[in-house]
Amino acid sequence: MNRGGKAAAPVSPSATTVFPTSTKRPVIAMVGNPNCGKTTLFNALTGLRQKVGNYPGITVERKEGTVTSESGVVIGLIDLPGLYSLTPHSPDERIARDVLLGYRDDTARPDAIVNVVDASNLERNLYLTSQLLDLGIPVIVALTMGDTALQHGVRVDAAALEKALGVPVIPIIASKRQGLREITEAFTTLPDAPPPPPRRWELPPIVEDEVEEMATLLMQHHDLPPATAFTEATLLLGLPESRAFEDQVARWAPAVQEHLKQDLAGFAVEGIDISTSIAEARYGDVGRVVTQAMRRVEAPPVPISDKLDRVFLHRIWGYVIFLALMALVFQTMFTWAGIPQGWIEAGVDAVKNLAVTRLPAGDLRDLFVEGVLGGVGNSIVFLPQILLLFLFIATLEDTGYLARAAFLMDRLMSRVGLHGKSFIPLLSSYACAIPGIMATRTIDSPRARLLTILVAPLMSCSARLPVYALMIGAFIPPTLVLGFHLGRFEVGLDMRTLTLFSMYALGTTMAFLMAALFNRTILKGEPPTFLLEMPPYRLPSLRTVIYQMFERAWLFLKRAGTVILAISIVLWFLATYPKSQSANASEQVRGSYAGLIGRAIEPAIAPLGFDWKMGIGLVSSFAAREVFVTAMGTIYNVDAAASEDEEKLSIAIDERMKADVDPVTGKHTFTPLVAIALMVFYVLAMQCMSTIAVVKRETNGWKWPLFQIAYMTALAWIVTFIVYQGGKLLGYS
Amino acid sequence: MCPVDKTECSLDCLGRGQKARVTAVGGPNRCRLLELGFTNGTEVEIARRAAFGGPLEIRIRSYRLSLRKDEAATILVSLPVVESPS
Repeated sequence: MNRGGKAAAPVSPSATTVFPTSTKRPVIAMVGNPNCGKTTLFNALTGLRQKVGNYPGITVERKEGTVTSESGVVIGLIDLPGLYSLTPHSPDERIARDVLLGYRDDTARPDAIVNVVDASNLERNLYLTSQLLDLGIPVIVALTMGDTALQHGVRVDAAALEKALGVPVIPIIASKRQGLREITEAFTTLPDAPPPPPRRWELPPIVEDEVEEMATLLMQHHDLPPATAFTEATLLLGLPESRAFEDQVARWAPAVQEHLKQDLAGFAVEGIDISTSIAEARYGDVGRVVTQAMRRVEAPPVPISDKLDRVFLHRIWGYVIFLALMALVFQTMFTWAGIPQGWIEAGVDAVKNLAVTRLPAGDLRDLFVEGVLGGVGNSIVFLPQILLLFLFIATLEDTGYLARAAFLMDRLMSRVGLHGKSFIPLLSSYACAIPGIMATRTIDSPRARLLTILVAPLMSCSARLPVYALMIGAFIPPTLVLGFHLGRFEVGLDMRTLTLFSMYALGTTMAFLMAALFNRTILKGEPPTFLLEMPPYRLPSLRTVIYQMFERAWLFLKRAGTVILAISIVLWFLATYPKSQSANASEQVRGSYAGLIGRAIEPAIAPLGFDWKMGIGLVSSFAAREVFVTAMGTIYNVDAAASEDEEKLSIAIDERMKADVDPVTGKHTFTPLVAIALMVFYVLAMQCMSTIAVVKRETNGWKWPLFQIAYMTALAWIVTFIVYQGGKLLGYS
Repeated sequence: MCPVDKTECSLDCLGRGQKARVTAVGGPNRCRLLELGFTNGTEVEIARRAAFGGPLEIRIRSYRLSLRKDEAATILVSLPVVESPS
């Protein structure tokens, strides 16, 4: 994603950003490992009083909410992304570090931390805790997943943990709302509580000296409080080598950078590895805490999760179950979503008709009906698919199955640089790229996520189907290709099925080829990561699932909706102006700016076998691909009566297209070869403003959507050129 | 690819159910792996290997983590000196 870029712009940590003013409402940051039950707890605590957005300049989700205690004290709660440590490996971790150390201008440093700790995975969770305790701000531990831990033969003694860590520990069962009151009450006094006791973990003396030295330097040059300086010193000295060094240290004074370089060089010579020293020191102390707090209890010899995995991750049954589940997702998105989509379309049409009858005729009414309502209709029609896909994904994620699916599919996807978790977004893109792209948030590797977003629109979505149907119906004969006649029935593949299948195959193949290409070229610098945690299976929380569904739907409407509305108004304008004298719709379109663009691009599309009329179709398809059918209807002047019914419209256009001849050569403009070329173009070209709007939102800028338009248009042009010219050379017409 | 010397090898050489102790971690994700608990002497067990040469599932510090084969290859482990496998 946006690697550093704006986010890494030097934010000088000054005293004002480090210490929030005490008059403001206290803010507590929620921090925890991925899969620790943080989201469930956040939702349970804040209810609907939450705000979701992005951190400026970077695609990391920013979630905030408020909690009100029984005594009426209101506390702000900020949910930081799930993370394993504060070492900035990913954008998520960079944000977490910046917020917790008070480096961000847009987010005041939190007054306290609530650290969510998964009892069933105590050791690794406490590693992060060990880092949080060093920050010099009050910490409270919310201990979750006690029930899962019991199944694994572990009971965590909250009182003993509290004693070992030196900070309050509150056991929570968010789904049963146990411990919520206690934690809310604890929040009211937390911001004024003393910071955690001094650290107990110890570095080897030589490393310790360097860390102290670096911390002193940071305090001198940047006025950092001692605890912040110490944490920053450990992070700087333990910087992962694989990342661009300059990027990481840009914000610090030259003296600090220089000292750091010398230190790292010195350690390298002496063969001391700081990352190892720090990790071992912290895990050493974590070991002490675990021994004091963890009790072994009687448990089934094989935990239920392991039993389930014997089936779900089985070398044969695992894939069978996975494919069956995916078939269900596909069926839902492709077919069942069509039912509520029909209602939405009918509803939008009803509003349009109402507007037409009630409003005075004129440009303003046309703008409202065609531009505004048309635009709104074109975007909200995707809602059923978004809601259904996120119902699935949230459920699969909450149960823990999503990680298993990624485990099964990773081999296939990693060949081209994708991730096991890219599979579901790509599969749902067959129905619609919009929910598919929104679903890429589950992919933890930024590189694989961007790759998935870039190629998802190549998967042949359902909006292309009307175009295929029109072209195949008109120009591809139902000849039997492979198979036999059985009495009156044909058994096997006919030409039409084969053509349709080829379009899907073409899109899919290109998606994988382009992923492989981008993986080897523009995204080469980013290290690929997998590191997939297998959380224990859990019953999904209905609350979490429903929240996620509606959160996604709302984000789509809010962010994408506005862009879509703006573009549809522009497109309406292009098709409407300048007004022609003729009352004939066909004449009107030909004379409009859209018509002008169609003519203007004719030289560019002529080598593909397209004339300017098809050019208008291509331009108007930008609103949504299926608009092609109605646009062709208008251009070929199909009478209005036929356009009432989509099927009749298709047949009527079909006749017109077949009859259309070139005025100069006298040849038919539409031939089977042109039809195929047109379909190929539709498979590969980015003709969907809603997708562009979503990519802009998901990648936080115009860079990637513009790149996507450029590469997909170029790809579509080249492949269509090869198909059309190659076809002509082979003697097809 | 697997060394003949049976006392030390990389993690991806181990078969299902085999246990070993971490001796060294390298590769681009070294720092991350250390933080995830692959410190010196930590016991690891191969819980499962995906079909077609896919990822490995590893048990470590009472949780389960999947790594790709090339990621697992950056982790060196020492095998317990026990009865020699036939």
